[in-house]
Amino acid sequence: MEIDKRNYNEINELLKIASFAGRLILENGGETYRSEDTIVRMLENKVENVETYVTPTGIFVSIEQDGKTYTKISRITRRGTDLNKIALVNDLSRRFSKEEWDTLDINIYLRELKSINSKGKYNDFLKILAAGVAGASAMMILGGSNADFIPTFITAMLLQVFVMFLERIGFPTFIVNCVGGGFVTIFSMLFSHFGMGSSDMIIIGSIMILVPGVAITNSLRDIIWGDLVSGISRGVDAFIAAIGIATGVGVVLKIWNMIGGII
Amino acid sequence: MILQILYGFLATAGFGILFNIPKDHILEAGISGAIGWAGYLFVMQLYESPIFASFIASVFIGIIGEFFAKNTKNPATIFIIPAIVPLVPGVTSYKTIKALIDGRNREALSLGILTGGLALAIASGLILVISFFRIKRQRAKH
Repeated sequence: MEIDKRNYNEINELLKIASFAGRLILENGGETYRSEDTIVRMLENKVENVETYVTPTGIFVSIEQDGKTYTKISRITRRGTDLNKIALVNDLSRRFSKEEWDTLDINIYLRELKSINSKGKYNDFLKILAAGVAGASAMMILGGSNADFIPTFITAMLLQVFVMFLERIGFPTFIVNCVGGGFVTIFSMLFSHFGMGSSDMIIIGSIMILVPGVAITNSLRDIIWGDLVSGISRGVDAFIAAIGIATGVGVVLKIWNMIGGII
Repeated sequence: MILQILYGFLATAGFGILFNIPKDHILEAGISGAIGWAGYLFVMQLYESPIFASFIASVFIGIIGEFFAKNTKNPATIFIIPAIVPLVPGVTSYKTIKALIDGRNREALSLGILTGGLALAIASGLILVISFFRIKRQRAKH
């Protein structure tokens, strides 16, 4: 009597594509509510009821259809920043939400999501240059002088090269932040030792490359939105990153002071 | 002053590339950063209050981000995150660490509180704008 009794496989596919989209948003620096909105938007016109619960480390999606409940859990371990992917998934989810289930070819969308997932970033040269410009400009608006510009520019670029190198080897974020902070401090001390700029400003500017800006903003946004669990865990994430940077900078500063005292 | 705003633009555009925002939106992101920073400088000239200035700057960034989001049909995050990063209290947090290392605990504490205040000001400014836009959007839906 009912023509649109959905079978298990079709619902399975829907769960798979929606949680994949949610995962892409979350892994690339999207907010919790954006991830939840995306999943709900994609499914709400296709099934009777959809509920989702997103945290920074996992996504739960469940669909109610024909008196049964289907659930999928995805574990999230990676947390990066790639705003291009968020824009692309956002666009895809809007198109997906306009599709009717009967005419929907899910494989096209699945393939598109996979190609979004493997999309590259800007090339290394441009990223290194951008790091230099961003670090030096941020330093200038934070109160640096013209003499600090070139040394900060160079230090920030070197830091970016170093960070990309460490990330490619696969170092954990904490170590990258820690070693990166130390790396910046050594260079800033060298520059200021030879009379090029003030070490404080060089450190402040270059460190902006490592600052967990996305985690900080998203954490507070999540908390105020009512996604308390996500907000707090992101806050911890940002806090740990900040501690990593501080450790790197602090240790090198201390050692430099001690050596300086001897010389 | 104009040079400062230009630096605001450049910093945001640079972070935009690091955060991999779409190529054709780097200009818009840079503009939101520049406007945010202009708001910061404007308030600083009137009141010399970095916390209030950060709040106003993030309100500006939120509004312009939502505006660009609507115009280009992209999530506002793309424009907001790169513009917010230069506002992040890097100077005060650095000074906090330095004070801690030198054993100036009292100073470290007050700098730490200032850092927290700045972060909260940025967040609440953003939330104010985003929640406002979200109400509007929900109204439009129903």
